[in-house]
Amino acid sequence: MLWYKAWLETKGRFLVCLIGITAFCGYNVFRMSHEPAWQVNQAYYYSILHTGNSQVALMSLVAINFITFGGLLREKAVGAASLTLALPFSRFHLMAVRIAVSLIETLAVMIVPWTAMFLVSAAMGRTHSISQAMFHLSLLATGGLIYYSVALLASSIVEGEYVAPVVSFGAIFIIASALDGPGLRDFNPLYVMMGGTNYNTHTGLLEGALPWPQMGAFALLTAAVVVASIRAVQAREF
Amino acid sequence: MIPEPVIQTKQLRKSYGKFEAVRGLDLCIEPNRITGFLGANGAGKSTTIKMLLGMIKPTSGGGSVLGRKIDDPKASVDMRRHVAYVSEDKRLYAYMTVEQIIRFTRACYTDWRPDVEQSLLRTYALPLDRKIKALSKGMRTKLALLLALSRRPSLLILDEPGDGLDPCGVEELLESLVAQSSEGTSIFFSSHQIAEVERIADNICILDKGKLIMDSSMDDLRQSYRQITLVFPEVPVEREFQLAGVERIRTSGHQMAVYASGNAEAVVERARNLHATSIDVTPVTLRDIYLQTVRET
Repeated sequence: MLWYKAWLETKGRFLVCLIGITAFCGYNVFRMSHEPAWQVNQAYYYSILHTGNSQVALMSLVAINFITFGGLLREKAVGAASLTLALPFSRFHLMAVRIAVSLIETLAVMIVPWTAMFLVSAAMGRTHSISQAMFHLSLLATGGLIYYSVALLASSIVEGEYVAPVVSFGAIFIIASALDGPGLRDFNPLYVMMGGTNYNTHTGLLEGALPWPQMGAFALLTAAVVVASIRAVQAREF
Repeated sequence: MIPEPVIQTKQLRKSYGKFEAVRGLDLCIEPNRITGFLGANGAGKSTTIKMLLGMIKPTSGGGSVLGRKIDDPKASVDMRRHVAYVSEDKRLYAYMTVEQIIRFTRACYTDWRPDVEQSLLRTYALPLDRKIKALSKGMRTKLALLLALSRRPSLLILDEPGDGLDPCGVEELLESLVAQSSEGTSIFFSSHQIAEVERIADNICILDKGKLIMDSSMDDLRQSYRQITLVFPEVPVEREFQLAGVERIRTSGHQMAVYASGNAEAVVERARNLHATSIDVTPVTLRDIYLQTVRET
């Protein structure tokens, strides 16, 4: 039943983000597909999808923050934490379910808009390669994990009804700015999400192998931050 | 055989920096009784309850609830299966409807009683499809009570349960608590509504500045506490009445008021010996006892 609670808590925010991003990106692909350039330039068409991917990346950063904020510290701020903590569940259990639900929703706000863009492009007569779509999604998810873990940590250590997402947005901005320099950009999560490590500007396609060093580093870092978030909530006094 | 206490604490302490919210609390709450937990604002009642439920960690000391240690997270989860709790803050989940929060809570426990749920829904007239954020404070309190009272827990812990209820609501609450108690549920509740506590409590614990200053049964309190009003032709010195059990003496004109926590017979005897022209012994209310006890400390 904790799944039910987590779903009800995030449902509104999640659906607004999902429908908003899907509609925006799907419509943009549809609109740009009517421009004459793509009729003669295949790379232009692929770049439309790449542009769509960048839009998904940027908007999913906002969505991650909206989806992830909540949990026990926010409940404490609004006076509902006692009800949750009196339930016959450990804090680890409470956090695990919340993390699982928000992770699924985070992935959904990446996968569903991409699926919409894919279907719109197919409807317009250009079937995009599934492998390219999967490549984009893998990069989106890899970079998105970092931002997800930052939002989760903020919601696990910062008290207040709306303070955590503000702190999280600030942290995201700092990470994106700090890792924007030469040599660091390949480990900039936003750059990875936008496909920057593999994007060929001439063909409009992602090329080469998946960036395994980044994926490994991001996965490890995310795991560490998630564990830290759980520990923070377990140690917290309510 | 002495029944195991439902709540037991030993030298339980909680400090926030230099401020000691709870100071060496030794509680022993017997099963199958209604225990009123009284104290002024900031006395440490909610802090104690939160420690019992594992929401905050004791600075030192320890305790158990239903035989499970309060500082063991695994035991605490097991304990909470058998404890229903209504917190001081009854905001609940604003994003759920009444029906959703009932469905959610029902699924979390195995001791849910659908018949009681239906009965309380009718009594409290709660709108099932309304969001909790749209409920009044009184309605939210009723809903929080419904979520706790629809179960058959071993122990019911209530923190200011009557807060926000109108007189009819308070009456219904008291009736529900007595009914729960008669079915074998131990009840431990904090309240500022002393008259209501006096009506239903079997035991009284009074906390003041984090310390337990009274732990007694209501029967003992009713039997031992007395207000003795004496009239003398010439009032004797107060020292004459400073006997064991005498808590306070006030003299006004020819009248002397003696407040005693016991030994009222000795006071009456002394008054007769000192030729009192009028001796009036009256029982005192819990409110008087509470005010007297807290003021003394």
